[in-house]
Amino acid sequence: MWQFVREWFHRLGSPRWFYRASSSWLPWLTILTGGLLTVGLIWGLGFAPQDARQGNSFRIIYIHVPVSMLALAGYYVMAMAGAVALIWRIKLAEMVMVAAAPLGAALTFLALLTGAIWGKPTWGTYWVWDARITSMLVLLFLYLGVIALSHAFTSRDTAYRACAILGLVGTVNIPIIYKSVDWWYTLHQPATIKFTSAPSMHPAMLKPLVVMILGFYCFYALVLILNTRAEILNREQRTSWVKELP
Amino acid sequence: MGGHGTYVWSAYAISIVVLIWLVVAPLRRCSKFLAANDRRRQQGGAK
Repeated sequence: MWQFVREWFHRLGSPRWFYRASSSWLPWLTILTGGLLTVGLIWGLGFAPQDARQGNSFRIIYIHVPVSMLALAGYYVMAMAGAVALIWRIKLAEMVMVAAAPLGAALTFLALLTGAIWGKPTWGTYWVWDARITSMLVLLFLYLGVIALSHAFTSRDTAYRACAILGLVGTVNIPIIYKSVDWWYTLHQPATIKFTSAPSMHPAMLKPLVVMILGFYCFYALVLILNTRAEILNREQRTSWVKELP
Repeated sequence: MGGHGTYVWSAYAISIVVLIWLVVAPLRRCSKFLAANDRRRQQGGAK
Protein backbone atom coordinates (compact mmCIF):
# COMPACT_ATOMS: atom_id res chain seq x y z
CA MET A 1 0.00 0.00 0.00
CA TRP A 2 2.72 2.45 1.06
CA GLN A 3 4.70 1.46 -2.02
CA PHE A 4 1.70 2.28 -4.21
CA VAL A 5 1.20 5.69 -2.60
CA ARG A 6 4.88 6.52 -3.05
CA GLU A 7 4.86 5.44 -6.65
CA TRP A 8 1.76 7.48 -7.35
CA PHE A 9 3.30 10.49 -5.64
CA HIS A 10 6.43 10.18 -7.74
CA ARG A 11 4.48 9.83 -10.95
CA LEU A 12 2.29 12.82 -10.18
CA GLY A 13 5.38 14.83 -9.35
CA SER A 14 6.91 14.07 -12.73
CA PRO A 15 6.35 16.85 -15.28
CA ARG A 16 6.67 14.35 -18.10
CA TRP A 17 3.90 12.13 -16.74
CA PHE A 18 1.69 15.18 -16.11
CA TYR A 19 2.22 16.51 -19.64
CA ARG A 20 1.26 13.17 -21.19
CA ALA A 21 -1.68 12.49 -18.88
CA SER A 22 -3.17 15.97 -19.12
CA SER A 23 -3.34 15.67 -22.93
CA SER A 24 -6.11 13.14 -22.49
CA TRP A 25 -7.95 15.17 -19.80
CA LEU A 26 -8.06 18.39 -21.80
CA PRO A 27 -10.77 17.52 -24.39
CA TRP A 28 -13.20 16.36 -21.68
CA LEU A 29 -12.50 19.31 -19.47
CA THR A 30 -12.97 21.71 -22.40
CA ILE A 31 -16.34 20.19 -23.29
CA LEU A 32 -17.48 20.25 -19.66
CA THR A 33 -16.35 23.86 -19.14
CA GLY A 34 -17.86 25.08 -22.41
CA GLY A 35 -21.15 23.28 -21.72
CA LEU A 36 -21.57 24.52 -18.14
CA LEU A 37 -20.62 28.12 -18.95
CA THR A 38 -22.89 28.26 -22.01
CA VAL A 39 -25.88 26.85 -20.10
CA GLY A 40 -25.21 29.11 -17.10
CA LEU A 41 -24.76 32.20 -19.25
CA ILE A 42 -27.97 31.71 -21.27
CA TRP A 43 -29.92 30.75 -18.14
CA GLY A 44 -28.61 33.67 -16.10
CA LEU A 45 -28.93 36.32 -18.80
CA GLY A 46 -32.11 35.13 -20.50
CA PHE A 47 -34.26 33.15 -18.12
CA ALA A 48 -33.51 34.10 -14.51
CA PRO A 49 -36.08 36.60 -13.22
CA GLN A 50 -35.25 40.27 -12.63
CA ASP A 51 -34.35 41.39 -9.14
CA ALA A 52 -37.14 43.34 -7.45
CA ARG A 53 -34.85 46.17 -6.33
CA GLN A 54 -31.80 45.97 -8.57
CA GLY A 55 -33.57 45.20 -11.83
CA ASN A 56 -31.30 43.66 -14.43
CA SER A 57 -28.02 44.92 -13.04
CA PHE A 58 -28.02 41.97 -10.62
CA ARG A 59 -27.22 39.70 -13.58
CA ILE A 60 -23.59 40.72 -13.15
CA ILE A 61 -23.71 38.31 -10.19
CA TYR A 62 -23.32 35.37 -12.59
CA ILE A 63 -19.80 36.55 -13.41
CA HIS A 64 -18.89 38.45 -10.26
CA VAL A 65 -19.54 35.74 -7.67
CA PRO A 66 -17.89 32.77 -9.45
CA VAL A 67 -14.90 34.88 -10.48
CA SER A 68 -14.42 36.17 -6.92
CA MET A 69 -14.75 32.67 -5.44
CA LEU A 70 -12.10 31.33 -7.81
CA ALA A 71 -9.83 34.31 -7.19
CA LEU A 72 -9.80 33.34 -3.49
CA ALA A 73 -9.74 29.55 -3.96
CA GLY A 74 -7.01 29.99 -6.56
CA TYR A 75 -4.83 31.70 -4.00
CA TYR A 76 -4.99 28.60 -1.81
CA VAL A 77 -4.07 26.47 -4.81
CA MET A 78 -1.04 28.69 -5.44
CA ALA A 79 -0.01 28.81 -1.78
CA MET A 80 -0.41 25.05 -1.28
CA ALA A 81 1.60 24.32 -4.42
CA GLY A 82 4.20 26.71 -3.01
CA ALA A 83 4.23 24.86 0.32
CA VAL A 84 4.64 21.48 -1.40
CA ALA A 85 7.45 22.96 -3.52
CA LEU A 86 9.20 24.32 -0.45
CA ILE A 87 8.88 21.20 1.68
CA TRP A 88 9.35 18.35 -0.79
CA ARG A 89 11.07 20.23 -3.63
CA ILE A 90 8.69 18.73 -6.18
CA LYS A 91 9.28 20.33 -9.58
CA LEU A 92 5.70 20.01 -10.74
CA ALA A 93 4.45 21.87 -7.66
CA GLU A 94 6.75 24.78 -8.49
CA MET A 95 5.33 24.88 -12.00
CA VAL A 96 1.73 24.75 -10.76
CA MET A 97 2.47 27.63 -8.39
CA VAL A 98 3.86 29.80 -11.18
CA ALA A 99 0.98 28.75 -13.46
CA ALA A 100 -1.65 29.74 -10.88
CA ALA A 101 -0.39 33.30 -10.40
CA PRO A 102 -1.42 34.98 -13.69
CA LEU A 103 -4.72 33.08 -13.68
CA GLY A 104 -5.50 34.26 -10.15
CA ALA A 105 -4.47 37.81 -11.01
CA ALA A 106 -6.79 37.87 -14.02
CA LEU A 107 -9.71 36.51 -11.97
CA THR A 108 -9.11 39.02 -9.15
CA PHE A 109 -8.97 41.81 -11.72
CA LEU A 110 -12.31 40.62 -13.15
CA ALA A 111 -13.83 40.40 -9.66
CA LEU A 112 -12.83 44.01 -8.95
CA LEU A 113 -13.91 45.23 -12.37
CA THR A 114 -17.33 43.52 -12.45
CA GLY A 115 -17.84 44.64 -8.86
CA ALA A 116 -17.07 48.24 -9.82
CA ILE A 117 -19.44 48.11 -12.80
CA TRP A 118 -22.15 46.58 -10.60
CA GLY A 119 -21.48 49.15 -7.88
CA LYS A 120 -22.35 52.11 -10.09
CA PRO A 121 -26.09 51.39 -10.58
CA THR A 122 -26.45 49.74 -7.12
CA TRP A 123 -24.41 51.90 -4.74
CA GLY A 124 -24.02 54.98 -6.94
CA THR A 125 -20.23 54.67 -7.07
CA TYR A 126 -17.64 52.61 -8.90
CA TRP A 127 -15.21 52.44 -6.03
CA VAL A 128 -15.07 52.84 -2.26
CA TRP A 129 -12.14 52.10 0.01
CA ASP A 130 -14.06 49.70 2.19
CA ALA A 131 -12.78 46.51 3.81
CA ARG A 132 -13.91 43.95 1.23
CA ILE A 133 -12.84 45.89 -1.82
CA THR A 134 -9.52 47.03 -0.39
CA SER A 135 -8.58 43.53 0.79
CA MET A 136 -9.44 42.24 -2.71
CA LEU A 137 -7.09 44.86 -4.15
CA VAL A 138 -4.37 43.60 -1.79
CA LEU A 139 -5.03 40.11 -3.19
CA LEU A 140 -4.42 41.44 -6.70
CA PHE A 141 -1.12 42.94 -5.57
CA LEU A 142 -0.11 39.65 -3.94
CA TYR A 143 -0.71 37.80 -7.21
CA LEU A 144 1.19 40.48 -9.14
CA GLY A 145 3.99 40.23 -6.57
CA VAL A 146 4.33 36.49 -7.18
CA ILE A 147 4.40 37.06 -10.95
CA ALA A 148 7.04 39.77 -10.57
CA LEU A 149 9.16 37.60 -8.23
CA SER A 150 9.04 34.66 -10.62
CA HIS A 151 10.85 36.82 -13.20
CA ALA A 152 13.10 38.69 -10.78
CA PHE A 153 15.93 36.20 -10.22
CA THR A 154 18.48 34.70 -12.55
CA SER A 155 18.42 31.53 -10.46
CA ARG A 156 15.21 29.64 -11.00
CA ASP A 157 15.37 27.91 -7.62
CA THR A 158 15.65 31.21 -5.78
CA ALA A 159 12.75 32.61 -7.78
CA TYR A 160 10.51 29.66 -6.93
CA ARG A 161 11.44 29.82 -3.27
CA ALA A 162 10.73 33.56 -3.09
CA CYS A 163 7.36 33.07 -4.82
CA ALA A 164 6.42 30.25 -2.45
CA ILE A 165 7.27 32.32 0.62
CA LEU A 166 5.34 35.37 -0.58
CA GLY A 167 2.43 33.10 -1.49
CA LEU A 168 2.38 31.49 1.95
CA VAL A 169 2.68 34.77 3.84
CA GLY A 170 -0.14 36.22 1.72
CA THR A 171 -2.62 33.51 2.79
CA VAL A 172 -3.28 35.61 5.89
CA ASN A 173 -5.24 37.93 3.59
CA ILE A 174 -7.74 35.26 2.50
CA PRO A 175 -9.70 34.86 5.77
CA ILE A 176 -9.64 38.64 6.09
CA ILE A 177 -11.35 38.96 2.71
CA TYR A 178 -13.91 36.27 3.62
CA LYS A 179 -14.71 37.83 6.96
CA SER A 180 -14.36 41.50 5.98
CA VAL A 181 -18.10 41.83 5.37
CA ASP A 182 -18.85 40.58 8.88
CA TRP A 183 -16.04 42.25 10.83
CA TRP A 184 -16.42 45.75 9.42
CA TYR A 185 -19.33 47.85 8.38
CA THR A 186 -18.93 47.79 4.60
CA LEU A 187 -20.95 48.76 1.56
CA HIS A 188 -20.52 45.23 0.29
CA GLN A 189 -23.27 42.81 1.30
CA PRO A 190 -22.52 39.71 3.43
CA ALA A 191 -22.24 36.30 1.77
CA THR A 192 -25.39 35.04 0.01
CA ILE A 193 -24.34 31.40 -0.17
CA LYS A 194 -23.09 29.83 3.05
CA PHE A 195 -22.23 26.32 4.13
CA THR A 196 -23.91 26.80 7.48
CA SER A 197 -27.35 28.07 6.45
CA ALA A 198 -29.75 28.17 3.51
CA PRO A 199 -28.88 30.68 0.77
CA SER A 200 -30.72 34.00 0.94
CA MET A 201 -31.54 33.89 -2.73
CA HIS A 202 -34.53 32.66 -4.73
CA PRO A 203 -33.94 29.22 -6.34
CA ALA A 204 -34.79 30.64 -9.79
CA MET A 205 -31.79 32.96 -9.46
CA LEU A 206 -29.61 30.56 -7.50
CA LYS A 207 -29.69 27.60 -9.91
CA PRO A 208 -27.98 29.38 -12.83
CA LEU A 209 -25.46 30.77 -10.33
CA VAL A 210 -24.58 27.26 -9.17
CA VAL A 211 -24.12 26.18 -12.81
CA MET A 212 -21.84 29.17 -13.41
CA ILE A 213 -19.81 28.42 -10.27
CA LEU A 214 -19.30 24.80 -11.36
CA GLY A 215 -18.42 26.01 -14.85
CA PHE A 216 -15.84 28.42 -13.47
CA TYR A 217 -14.26 25.71 -11.31
CA CYS A 218 -13.83 23.62 -14.47
CA PHE A 219 -12.52 26.69 -16.30
CA TYR A 220 -9.99 27.26 -13.53
CA ALA A 221 -8.78 23.65 -13.74
CA LEU A 222 -8.56 23.90 -17.52
CA VAL A 223 -6.49 27.08 -17.59
CA LEU A 224 -4.32 25.91 -14.70
CA ILE A 225 -3.47 22.75 -16.65
CA LEU A 226 -2.80 24.75 -19.85
CA ASN A 227 -0.52 27.19 -17.99
CA THR A 228 1.28 24.33 -16.25
CA ARG A 229 1.89 22.60 -19.59
CA ALA A 230 3.36 25.80 -21.03
CA GLU A 231 5.56 26.14 -17.95
CA ILE A 232 6.67 22.49 -18.23
CA LEU A 233 7.77 22.99 -21.84
CA ASN A 234 9.63 26.15 -20.90
CA ARG A 235 11.40 24.63 -17.94
CA GLU A 236 12.11 21.18 -19.36
CA GLN A 237 13.18 22.35 -22.82
CA ARG A 238 16.63 20.84 -22.50
CA THR A 239 15.39 17.35 -21.60
CA SER A 240 15.27 14.69 -24.27
CA TRP A 241 11.57 13.92 -23.89
CA VAL A 242 10.63 17.54 -24.66
CA LYS A 243 13.02 17.67 -27.60
CA GLU A 244 11.30 14.60 -29.04
CA LEU A 245 7.77 16.02 -28.72
CA PRO A 246 5.98 16.20 -32.07
CA MET B 1 -32.25 45.53 -19.70
CA GLY B 2 -34.19 48.40 -18.15
CA GLY B 3 -31.49 51.08 -18.32
CA HIS B 4 -28.86 48.76 -16.92
CA GLY B 5 -27.87 47.28 -20.28
CA THR B 6 -24.60 49.20 -20.56
CA TYR B 7 -23.42 47.95 -17.16
CA VAL B 8 -24.45 44.35 -17.69
CA TRP B 9 -23.17 44.02 -21.25
CA SER B 10 -19.89 45.80 -20.60
CA ALA B 11 -19.22 43.56 -17.54
CA TYR B 12 -19.95 40.44 -19.60
CA ALA B 13 -18.04 41.62 -22.68
CA ILE B 14 -14.85 42.47 -20.78
CA SER B 15 -15.06 39.23 -18.78
CA ILE B 16 -15.48 37.09 -21.89
CA VAL B 17 -12.49 38.80 -23.57
CA VAL B 18 -10.32 38.15 -20.49
CA LEU B 19 -11.48 34.52 -20.19
CA ILE B 20 -10.76 33.83 -23.87
CA TRP B 21 -7.34 35.43 -23.51
CA LEU B 22 -6.62 33.21 -20.48
CA VAL B 23 -7.22 30.10 -22.61
CA VAL B 24 -5.52 31.33 -25.79
CA ALA B 25 -2.32 32.69 -24.18
CA PRO B 26 -0.93 29.35 -22.86
CA LEU B 27 -2.06 27.52 -26.01
CA ARG B 28 -0.10 29.99 -28.15
CA ARG B 29 2.92 29.69 -25.87
CA CYS B 30 2.84 25.89 -26.27
CA SER B 31 2.36 25.89 -30.02
CA LYS B 32 5.12 28.49 -30.54
CA PHE B 33 7.47 26.41 -28.42
CA LEU B 34 6.64 23.19 -30.25
CA ALA B 35 7.13 24.87 -33.64
CA ALA B 36 10.55 26.14 -32.55
CA ASN B 37 11.32 22.69 -31.13
CA ASP B 38 10.47 21.13 -34.49
CA ARG B 39 12.75 23.57 -36.33
CA ARG B 40 15.60 22.87 -33.96
CA ARG B 41 15.19 19.13 -34.46
CA GLN B 42 15.16 19.46 -38.25
CA GLN B 43 18.31 21.59 -38.17
CA GLY B 44 19.92 19.04 -35.88
CA GLY B 45 18.89 16.18 -38.18
CA ALA B 46 20.28 17.92 -41.30
CA LYS B 47 23.78 18.09 -39.89
